Amino acid sequence: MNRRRNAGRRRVDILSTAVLVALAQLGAGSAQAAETNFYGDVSAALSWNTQDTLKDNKGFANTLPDTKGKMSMQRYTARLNVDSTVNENLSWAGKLRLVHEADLGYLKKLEDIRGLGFSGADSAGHNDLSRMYSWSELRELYADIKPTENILLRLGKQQVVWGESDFFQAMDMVHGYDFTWRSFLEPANEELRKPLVLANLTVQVPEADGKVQVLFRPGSLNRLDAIGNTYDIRGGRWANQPLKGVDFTAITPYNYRAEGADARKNTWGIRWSGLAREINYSLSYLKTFNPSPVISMAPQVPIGLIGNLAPIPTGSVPFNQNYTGVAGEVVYPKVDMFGVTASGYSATADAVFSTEVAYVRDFAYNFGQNSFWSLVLGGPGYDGVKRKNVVRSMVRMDKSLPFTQSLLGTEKPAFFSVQVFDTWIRNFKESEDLVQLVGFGQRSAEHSTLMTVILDTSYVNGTVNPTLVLGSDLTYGGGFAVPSVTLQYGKNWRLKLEYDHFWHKGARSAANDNVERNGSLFGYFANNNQFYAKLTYQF
Amino acid sequence: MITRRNLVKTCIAVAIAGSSQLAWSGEVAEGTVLSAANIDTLKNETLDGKPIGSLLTEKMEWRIRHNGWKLPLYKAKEIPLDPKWVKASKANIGKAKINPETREIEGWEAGEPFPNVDAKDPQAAEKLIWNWHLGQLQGDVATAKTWTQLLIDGKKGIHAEPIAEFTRYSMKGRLNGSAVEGDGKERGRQLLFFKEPAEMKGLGTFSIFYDSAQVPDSWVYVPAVRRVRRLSGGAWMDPVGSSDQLQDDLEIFNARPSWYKGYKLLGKRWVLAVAHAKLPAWNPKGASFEERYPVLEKGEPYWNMNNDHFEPREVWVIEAVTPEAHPYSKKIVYMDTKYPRIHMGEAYNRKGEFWKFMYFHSNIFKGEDGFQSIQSSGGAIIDVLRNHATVFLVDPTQWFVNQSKVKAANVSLGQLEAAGR
Repeated sequence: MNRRRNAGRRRVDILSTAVLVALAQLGAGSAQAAETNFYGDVSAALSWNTQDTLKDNKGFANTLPDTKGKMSMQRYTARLNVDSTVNENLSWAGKLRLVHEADLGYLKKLEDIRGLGFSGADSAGHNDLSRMYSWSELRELYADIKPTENILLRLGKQQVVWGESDFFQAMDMVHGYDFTWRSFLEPANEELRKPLVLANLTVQVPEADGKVQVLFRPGSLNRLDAIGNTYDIRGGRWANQPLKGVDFTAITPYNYRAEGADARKNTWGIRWSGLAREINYSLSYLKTFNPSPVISMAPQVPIGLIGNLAPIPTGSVPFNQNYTGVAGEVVYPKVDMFGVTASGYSATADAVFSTEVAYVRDFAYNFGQNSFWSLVLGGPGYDGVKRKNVVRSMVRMDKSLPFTQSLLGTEKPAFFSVQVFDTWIRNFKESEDLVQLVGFGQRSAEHSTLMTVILDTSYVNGTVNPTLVLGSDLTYGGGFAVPSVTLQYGKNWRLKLEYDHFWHKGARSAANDNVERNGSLFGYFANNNQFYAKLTYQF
Repeated sequence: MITRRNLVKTCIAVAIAGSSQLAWSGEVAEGTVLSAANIDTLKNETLDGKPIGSLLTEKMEWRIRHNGWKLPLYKAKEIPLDPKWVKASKANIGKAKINPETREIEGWEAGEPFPNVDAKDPQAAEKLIWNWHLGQLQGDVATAKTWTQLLIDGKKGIHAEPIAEFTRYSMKGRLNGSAVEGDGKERGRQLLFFKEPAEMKGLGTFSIFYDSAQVPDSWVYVPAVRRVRRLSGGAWMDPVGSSDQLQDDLEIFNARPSWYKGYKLLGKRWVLAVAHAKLPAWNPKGASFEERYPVLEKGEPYWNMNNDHFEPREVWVIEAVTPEAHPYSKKIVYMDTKYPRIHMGEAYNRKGEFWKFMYFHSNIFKGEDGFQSIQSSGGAIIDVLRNHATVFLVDPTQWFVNQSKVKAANVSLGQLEAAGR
């Protein structure tokens, strides 16, 4: 299945490039009638481990080297974009991203990890992480049809963004995110979003100072894996600690066709957004898929898996009685999202306040630690899938800080933003034993709250931009600090240097496997501190 | 003791001295370039009958002597004022006034609110600034579809050349149809978005300006996250991006007049300014520096628009007294006496040091409906303390005024998002 998938990807690359080049030539050829623009960039993104990322794997797997100081990523990217305006009623755009990842020794080491439950990263695919990460695609290709002044119909592969939150998804659930690109740390989330083929109709209603947007996602015209968030469960660079080298898809593959989680089904959404009394607001509804995957485990141990001669009940209840893999499958159940946002400027505080509330009906959680699978795979969450209604909310304040000009010598007031993001499980019952993430000990609390802070400064006419991003998990502990500086050299060259530092309250390891109870979000990033550099030439 | 004889002698001496001066000085030929090399000579000659030395402020002279500024000299030409605008301005006589409590304007409809400002009027300076704020000859809607904002290091040259589109739409003071669109609360709307370079493509802002002391509502579209974000309305004193100009420095003075503490009329005088700019100031298709930036001088400090037409213009000299939080301690502007146009400005920092020199070149651009608008062809904001400047230049073929197809709905938050594709 994975070989087929990768082969499919390569065909897509070639086809995508051909389509984009052909369209670009068409645009350029008809330059008399059309305004056509070509632009993009080429970049090299490098990262180095500043900790031994395999520290907590020791004890699970065979002898492992110290990976501190090893280069963990050497990625080359070319982004080629074209947009063309044929006339006032018709325009189109295409965006191609070509990616090549170097086959680093560190990646090879992850591919070679063997031990109890460790079959090496991407073992269910080609056991080749550089190949897996070298995924080029036609990210967007759409036409804008504007039959009248107030109507815009965008047809094709595109990105649609709803909501207000930074870092986290409340209403921004139209697309899933691909966190194998860069887990959590990528500020440009357009790189993470998995584009969809959509019909996207927007009707401006000037009389009501707003617009209505209707989305329709035809399931049959989209890749199956375009739904939900994709995490590195293949044991690669971004696998949660201590699961580097573990390819879960070998025994629990994705199933995009499960009943109640079928990516072939159509989905849709509608949003009204407007301005009233100088407050921006929006109301939305979206039929979509659970942003996080859940695992649906087999109710019985397959014959022969542990030398058994007859099926043994596991105590797990599969989602909608579905399971396809040796041990189970990974699914994205369908959910309904009702959202509201608002933002406005307060002259009294000289700050912008924003809020977002998304009510997600039937959000899917894994639960329990009683099944056979917890014993075999370690940690809780394998007992089954529970559906809960959740409220995801955000409040944020953005403010300019003039005092940084005298205090830090910035050329203009620094941009400061503080955000609190909360997930509230409605009708919460501790006895339901919901987990934050399958395999990790931390049970979900009724409220899970995170706070983030951004301080963005500028020097030398914007050619030097130091930024500090901080985050703290107010419920489960831990956090992160990401200081970075972006340097501009001339019109074309950009260099970003960044250090990513995580801390945690609890993390999973060989020593506490199946026992720990506090391995949560920032524990997943334990031992993953890193230095990152990206050099970009734009054209 | 002054005797009658001595007095006669003195008069004769003065007369002789005067006649020899007249004989020595003369009218310069059009196209003569005033520069550091000849300023001492040309100061005593005349342009349009006015001594050239009298057309230079202290800061202008400093720039010519020490900052590579060269001024090709031409005779003044008449600026034809659009009859619709003149009529609307006249209609404000006796009606428009400044409310002493709110310092806001009342009784204004369109055109300039105070067409006849008397220098002896204690409110003269404030009225002139209101004329500029409300009465600019920009048209009901003006779009610069292609312009650039050059960031220039005085030693190294141009280090950034983003290209953008800009539309300003008047919701009040309109000269076609009803003077007011909407509920009368908005004064105007502004849409700005970048087209190049790749990292900035789609980045843009949309602002609603109010016909009151209320700060504008502004939004920014950030392409990297594909989302619109509300901006602080109190940013009018902050720099525009990473440029040398504050929001308040757009076209030299961009604040609501009532946000400033007050204004002083320093006088009326003549200066050299560009009111009939040479076009194009910028040719985005040009390959060489000279072709691409026809008015810019290539050598250090790279920001001098030396290849333009400078003519004598009579100006009001107004000092704007800034609020406490403003980075400037004061701003001095030079505003044409014939029509609301600020040609030049100086800004001083909180220590009282000369900080920025601003000069904008303009020309007449005819609207689709024949309206004779005055628009900038280029402008420079020079930070003399940091030896850095921001120069913006417009492709003149891409200035569009009073296009009937452009409605208020085209200058909106939705359009900002649409531009970010």
